[in-house]
Amino acid sequence: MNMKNLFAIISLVLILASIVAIFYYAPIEQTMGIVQKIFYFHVASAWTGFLAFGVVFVCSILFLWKKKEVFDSLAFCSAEIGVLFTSLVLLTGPMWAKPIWNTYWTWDPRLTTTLILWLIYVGYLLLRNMIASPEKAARISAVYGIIGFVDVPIVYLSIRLWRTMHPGYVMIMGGESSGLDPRMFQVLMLSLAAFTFLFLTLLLIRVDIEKLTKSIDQIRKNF
Amino acid sequence: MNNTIFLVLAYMLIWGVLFGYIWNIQKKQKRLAREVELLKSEAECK
Repeated sequence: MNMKNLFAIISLVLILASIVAIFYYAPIEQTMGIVQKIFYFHVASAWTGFLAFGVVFVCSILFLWKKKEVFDSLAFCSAEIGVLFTSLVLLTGPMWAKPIWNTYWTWDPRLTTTLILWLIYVGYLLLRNMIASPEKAARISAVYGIIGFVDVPIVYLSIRLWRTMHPGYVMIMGGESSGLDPRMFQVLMLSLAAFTFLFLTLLLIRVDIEKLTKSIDQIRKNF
Repeated sequence: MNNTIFLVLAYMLIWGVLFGYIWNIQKKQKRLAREVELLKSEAECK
């Protein structure tokens, strides 16, 4: 069994386990009620987006340093998947906000910096398509991918840097002050693991497609 | 207050978007496989 299939099976099992745990194991939050259950995949999507943009950052540095095409492919594919998961954050957030804050959107620092993050990486994907020369596109997007990553810690720290309505930390820096029920925390960890494996699966598939596209283009040029 | 509709909508969005993306990359993969076959047959004809 290859790595892609193994990761796909692991992510499928973990996603199914997460769904079961969310609805049958995690308790219903007393103040917010059942709508709080959006949180598990909302936070997992945010984590996966950060992870994907982290991969873009590291691979962009490696591409500029080693000049190997594989790092460019990894950065590009990871940016695409990062945009996908950040879109999920921006879509599921308002579904939670409407019943809790009585509004779908507010220009809160956490929400605004997340929207900026999404726009930065949509810009990254558009930029690549706009530059005709693949070598130039790879170099410019690598620089963009490094600079764009600056917004990731800003998004994470936004609830500490500014006054915000957004709920506090639940993972790093959260600790006991997060007030999260241990069962909720366990389920959150399970959904984080599920989306991490889903990200790895999608990345491997997407990189394979990118390699194949480049090979076909090369063959067509030489024909 | 019944907020179940927001929970259902959120989960529909999550799985809808993810399945849409997977379907899209699967379509791309199939198109590329067809293109490889075409190139192979073109190379054999030459």
